[in-house]
Amino acid sequence: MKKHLKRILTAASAMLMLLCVFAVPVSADRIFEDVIANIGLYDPDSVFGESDYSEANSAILETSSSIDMYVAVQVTGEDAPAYSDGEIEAMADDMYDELFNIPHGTETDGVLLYLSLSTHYAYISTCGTAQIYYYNGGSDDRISSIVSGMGDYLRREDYAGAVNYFCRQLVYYKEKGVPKDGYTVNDDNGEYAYYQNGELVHSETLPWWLGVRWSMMLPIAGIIGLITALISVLCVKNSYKLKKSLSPMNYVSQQDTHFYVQEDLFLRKHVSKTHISSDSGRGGGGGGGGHSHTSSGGFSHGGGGGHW
Amino acid sequence: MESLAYKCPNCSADLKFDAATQTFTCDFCSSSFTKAEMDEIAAKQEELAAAERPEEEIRTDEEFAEHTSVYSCDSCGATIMADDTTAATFCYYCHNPVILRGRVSGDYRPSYVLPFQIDREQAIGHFQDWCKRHKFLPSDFLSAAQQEKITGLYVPFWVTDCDLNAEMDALGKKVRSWTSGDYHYTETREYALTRKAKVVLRGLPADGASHIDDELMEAVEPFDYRQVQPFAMQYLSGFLAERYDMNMAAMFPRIQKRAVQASDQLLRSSMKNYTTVSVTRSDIKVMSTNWEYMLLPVWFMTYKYRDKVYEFALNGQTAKFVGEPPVSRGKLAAFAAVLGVLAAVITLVVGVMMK
Repeated sequence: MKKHLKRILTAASAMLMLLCVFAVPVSADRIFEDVIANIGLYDPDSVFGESDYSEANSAILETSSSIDMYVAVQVTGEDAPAYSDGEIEAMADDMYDELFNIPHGTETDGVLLYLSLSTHYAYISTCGTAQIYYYNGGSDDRISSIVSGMGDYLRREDYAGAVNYFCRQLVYYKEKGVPKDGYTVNDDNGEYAYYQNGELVHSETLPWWLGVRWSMMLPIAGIIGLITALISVLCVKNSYKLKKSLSPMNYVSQQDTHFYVQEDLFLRKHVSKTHISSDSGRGGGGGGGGHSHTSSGGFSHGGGGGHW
Repeated sequence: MESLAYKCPNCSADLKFDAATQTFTCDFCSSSFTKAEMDEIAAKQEELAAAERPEEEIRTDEEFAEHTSVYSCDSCGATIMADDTTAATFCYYCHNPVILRGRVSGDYRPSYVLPFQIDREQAIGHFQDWCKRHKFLPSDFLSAAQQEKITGLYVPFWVTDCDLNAEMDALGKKVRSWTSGDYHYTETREYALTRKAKVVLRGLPADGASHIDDELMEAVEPFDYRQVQPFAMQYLSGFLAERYDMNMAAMFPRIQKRAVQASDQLLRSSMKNYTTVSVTRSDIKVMSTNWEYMLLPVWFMTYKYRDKVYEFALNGQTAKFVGEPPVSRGKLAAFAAVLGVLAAVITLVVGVMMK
């Protein structure tokens, strides 16, 4: 209860600051006025000093405006309960829903960073188009990269530096654009999410251009083409070779030839048996793409985390 | 050595054997004669030749003594040189056919001749059809210049009847398998197989000219011996002909090899009801042979492409065309490229569809 009170107070102070300063221009497209106050740093255990808090909170607000998405950071202290990684992930998703999705009533675009100092676990929950911009799959795993980069600051207990780094990376990847072939698949309901014409699309099927791993398919097609070309050359060359001569069997006189012994004598019989293994093995893995899941609020979230 | 060109009794022009009509025709007065009529004409011509002509073989150079002989053409008197295996040829000057009688007499007289059933025009037609079926030939392969190199040749063949005694022991296995419950069963039944046979081969041919490619001649088989005729020199008229330079003793290993191969195949073919057959003993012996020397008709063609000479042969009786043609690298590369691109595109499409 105390925590919630502090959280509300923190949020209120952030809103007040925002209203007073009017320093952050916010796009009307994706940031909604009714939940704008929820953007910011949540520090229920007062991990940040006053100046650090102010600096980090400003960075979050500016970043939110810059990337046109909701951004929030939750930091819990070393004395906070040591939740498991899974519990932290669920709490991060739920907190994002409470701050942005539920008040607005639909899925919004945004990111929430949860830093658990008691377990040294950092988790980033993404929602809406943020799932694609802050991709957590394939070779361009941006979430892992951000978490890894924050580790340097977190290990030095420079939490403000970590938040600043987090914000810079959010801006950097947003400017970099949607990763090539980026999409997520919801582990709970199998739904795909991908970015198309500036909008996040949820679909039960994946567009063909995203489903294909071109980096793998093109070399395979090239090799098959090359092999086909070589086989066709060999076949043509072989077909042009001198045909085998007539079998001398054709000169055997059937009238004059006769078998005077033609004997098939049974010798023995043996039977062998082999056990059929029931382990039929698993099929091939699924395609590329990141992963998402559904929060208890019913919203789709991506993201990822790591320890420092 | 005597050379002989058969003269038309009507106009004295040289007669040629027409494969299409199986008669002897005169290109100048369009006269045509049957084999019986030609025998009569030939007898008269030989009488005249014996009475009027001196010995015409003139050996002019000791260096050619062993392998080259010189003749004079009956039509124009030109001197003709031929190697020691040529039995019938053309005068290089007047292009009249010349048969070198000494080359087809005595031991070299064939027992039979299979007259050409395919004439030059038909041979060219078959060749053109064959070329049309081979899309990767060089573009100029069908040119008229190449068709001029088609030559009708009576090839000296040894045709052999062989009696063989063939014995074979083998281990035959019949394997069947089935699944029951969690087990896969394989049953193997083994048999001792014994085969003994008297194998008779009829009309096994082998060319007796050492400079003619054996593989090419085996590929041009078979010939239908029902159309062979007792040898008469008239059939050679208008075609080239050669005599053998490999006698029966020299030919025996080739004949034996093919006869043993045929017997081996025959015995193995009687063991087909088995999944696998392992031969443990094979004893095949040629017991007796009966040889006939005959001339068989073959159209030959040579073609030079990229400094390599390609040889082709067309069976002068059945029109079977054999040879290893050149392949146009450009055409083949284009074909392979198109096929390769097509395969790559199909792979991509299938890959996309399977996703």
